[in-house]
Amino acid sequence: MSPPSSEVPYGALDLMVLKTLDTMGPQHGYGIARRIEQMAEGMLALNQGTIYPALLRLEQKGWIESDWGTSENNRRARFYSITRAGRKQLAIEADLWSKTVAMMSRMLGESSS
Amino acid sequence: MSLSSIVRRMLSRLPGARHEANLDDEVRNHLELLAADYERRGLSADQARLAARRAFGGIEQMKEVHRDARGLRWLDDARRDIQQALRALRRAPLFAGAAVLTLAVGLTAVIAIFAMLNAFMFRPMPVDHPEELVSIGTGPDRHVSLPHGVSFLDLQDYRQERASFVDLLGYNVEVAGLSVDNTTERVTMYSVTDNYFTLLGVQPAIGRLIQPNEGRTRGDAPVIVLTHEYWQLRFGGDPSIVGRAVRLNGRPFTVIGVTSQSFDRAHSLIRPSAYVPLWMHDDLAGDSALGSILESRESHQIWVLGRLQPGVSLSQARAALEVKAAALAREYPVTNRGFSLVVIPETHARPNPNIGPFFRVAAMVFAGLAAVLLLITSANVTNLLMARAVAREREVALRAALGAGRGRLVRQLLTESVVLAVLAGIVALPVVVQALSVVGQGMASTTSIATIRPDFSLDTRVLGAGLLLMVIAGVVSGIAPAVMAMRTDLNGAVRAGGRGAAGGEPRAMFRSALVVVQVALSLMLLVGGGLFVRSLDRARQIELGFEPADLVVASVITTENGYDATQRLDFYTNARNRVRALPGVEQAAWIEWAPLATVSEGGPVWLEGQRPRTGEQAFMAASASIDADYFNTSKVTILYGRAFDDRDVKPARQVAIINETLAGHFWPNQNAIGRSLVFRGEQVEVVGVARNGKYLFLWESPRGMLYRPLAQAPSERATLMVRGSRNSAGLITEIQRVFRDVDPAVRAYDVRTMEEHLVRESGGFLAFAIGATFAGVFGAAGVLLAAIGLYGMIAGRVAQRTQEFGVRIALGADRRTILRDVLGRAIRLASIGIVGGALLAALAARGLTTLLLDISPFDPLTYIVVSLFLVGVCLFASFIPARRATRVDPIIALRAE
Repeated sequence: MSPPSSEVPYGALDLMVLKTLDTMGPQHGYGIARRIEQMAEGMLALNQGTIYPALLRLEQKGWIESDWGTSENNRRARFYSITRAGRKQLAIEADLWSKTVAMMSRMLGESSS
Repeated sequence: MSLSSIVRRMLSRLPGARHEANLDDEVRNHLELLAADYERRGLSADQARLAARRAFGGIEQMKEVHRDARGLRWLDDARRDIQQALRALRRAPLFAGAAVLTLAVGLTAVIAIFAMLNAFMFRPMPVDHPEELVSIGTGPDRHVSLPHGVSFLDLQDYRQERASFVDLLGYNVEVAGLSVDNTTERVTMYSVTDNYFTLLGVQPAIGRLIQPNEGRTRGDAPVIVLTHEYWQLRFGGDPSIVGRAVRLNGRPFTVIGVTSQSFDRAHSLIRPSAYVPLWMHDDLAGDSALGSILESRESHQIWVLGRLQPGVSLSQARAALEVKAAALAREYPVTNRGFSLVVIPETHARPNPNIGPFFRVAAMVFAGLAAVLLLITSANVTNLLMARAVAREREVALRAALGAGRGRLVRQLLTESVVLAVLAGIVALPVVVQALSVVGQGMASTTSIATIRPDFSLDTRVLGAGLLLMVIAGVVSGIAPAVMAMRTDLNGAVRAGGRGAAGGEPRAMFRSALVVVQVALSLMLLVGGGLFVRSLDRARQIELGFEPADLVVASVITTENGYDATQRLDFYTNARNRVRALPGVEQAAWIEWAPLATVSEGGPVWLEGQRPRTGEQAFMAASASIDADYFNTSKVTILYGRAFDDRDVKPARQVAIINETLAGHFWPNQNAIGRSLVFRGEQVEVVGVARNGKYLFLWESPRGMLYRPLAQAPSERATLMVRGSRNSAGLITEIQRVFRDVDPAVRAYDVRTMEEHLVRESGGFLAFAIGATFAGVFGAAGVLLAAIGLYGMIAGRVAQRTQEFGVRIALGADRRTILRDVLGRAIRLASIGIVGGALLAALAARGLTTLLLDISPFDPLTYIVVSLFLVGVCLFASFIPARRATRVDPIIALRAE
């Protein structure tokens, strides 16, 4: 029925949020969650609520900032945007992530052959 | 408003609460948008809402995680701020040391005062629901000008008032000789109503306590309960004490139990060793001339506590008792008319029901003085922080430029001053403990009436209040410098290289204002101290009616040894004769109670055949039995007639000597000698008239006094007055030795010089001496700190203007002009402070009125002397830096540029 979905690996959610804000510009929490689910195409079992602690974490680290605005349903909503420090962090983590992925696939490729 | 709702409202103001509400908004919004999406995909509204909840996951768990992250952040920040503050302080040890020591002075004062107030006013009695307890006393009446106890028969009637009170208990504090195995010790004990322990809810440690209906009638088995502490002290906690036979004032009693360790008394000052049923009071008292207190409505000596019924307010209970009292006044007009009841919470009646209300005023005054001292110290630390802020301007500006938020920076700076205050508190605590033990020991004594021992231990309430005071002191000292640091122009500060180019002028203004405030506050303290000193001085000038110099007193209570009247007289005669034979002793004589002692006697007096009718009030006089030589010894002048002599021993012809007031009351402008009076129902012939004196209080208005010869009225207690020219310490030891020689079982107490007696008795100089000491110490500390503050400010300005002075001197300016310039500024500031302080003091001094003796709170002399003194101190403090200004070497000053 539904495709096999996996838990979000530790640290990956923060990176996904940063990337989303980097490409989409300021977003409220729901917008970020929707974008992440669309990108995952059903491969991710994301409890959407978990992004709020992630947003707080990122804001505390100074990688994102927030401001109050109005959402499409005309409600007061908090919009998050990425900071300059956040972009720098995104670049570092994206690089680290792709290196990890490359290494993992090399290792897994070796053992299966 | 209940405490918990106040706390909740305060919490809702915290930043955390705002975060919580914001997060709620976000989540609600999120769910709505998500549900709307599902609806667009074809789900019904209900299904969409459910699906949205499912996709969102556990809301509460998420919030919990969110909250944790927020909390940790706050803690993290606080920890980092504290570490940073400690590092910064370590880099500036001189500044840190000065600030910590200064704050420690103020904190010591407030924490010590609070610990004392705690013992007297806040600490709940360790019993069930202490908040339900109220103290019930008799208001000022024609005998006693202060609130005091209740009579036994009235108490029985008030106890019927069960709609408002669960019940009322009564206790009487007394001293008795407790003999075990032929050794007698004087103990303080409470004679209590049978419901005392049950109403308070106290449990025995072993055995049982006095129970309702126990010892209600004379002749019931005499029982005694020991306090836990006394059981440990005298019997080493031996459990076989229960059932043991002991003797009280020579009469057999059985120990039935020991109170629990946590409770020993219903009084904050007087520590009992034992309890006996109140109904045995008369047996213990011996053949007191006063008669039974158990059959009296006249003798208001029982202290009463009531426990309110649940839901009954204090004012309802008061109203109910007043109705009862009015009914009693109608029924017993002779004894019960002309006074009102004092019904107040138990904590307000401390340390003594009779001085509770007065004590609260005094407590507020001293707490106020301590708070003013803390403000002065805080101002000094503010001053130090301002000086430091100039040096740190660059550091702060840099941090701001690097992106630290302003709120964050203010918090960092405030953390630093709070850390200073907490360090000061840590320095202050041991000093507080030391001070409390000194004051506690000073107050502790075993006197003729009780064992006094206040409990000033530091409990959690004191420590909590201390911590709160530290934080407040830190914030008060630090807030202005922190805010000013934020106001400075950052760019300018970074560029100026820390010279403080920007914001210098407002800062200097502020520091001047601080000095003005300090001078004003210390003037307030000095005025307070000055007024107390003036009161003490006035008290010392009061004509006592006797000559207090070169007198030593020593008291005994002969009931402790089970003496009868003959044995008493024998002891008095022997002891007096042997003391008189001591080298250096001129005179010695007994009196029932020394002037201004806490105990006194008295009774109604009328002319023969003119007994007051029902409803009429008899003239009340104080009375004392005396030795024949009393007037020689104390140097009270006999105006007419004669002193007592050997003729006055026969019981047939009862005689008395009265004072001017008593004589004037009955025989105005006539000769009183040879006339007859009825005193306490007994006819006495007046043989002499003595000069008026002070008997109960220094500040009493003239009071009637009647002396009886000891031989005709041998009192149970007596004080030997000894006039001698020799060294008093030696004399005191000798007198004690003589008493022991005459009868080893007799114990003398309060053996001391008359000077000491007057200073230690509450009817004497005690209150004024305490007031003058406390206010004096606070005032001295305040002035010293203000002087340091002024010195620091002037010195700082002189340092800043060194170049200017250099130039002026180089150009030939007169050094005296420069001196005048610098001093002028100091004097201007001090004058503003003094005028402001005088106004403040005059406003606050009204609260002192009830504590002062015969002196106006606006006494001009005090204000003038104190102001002049403060001007002198300010001049001295600024003269040192001012002189430095005149000695500036122009060459060095200019080269420094």
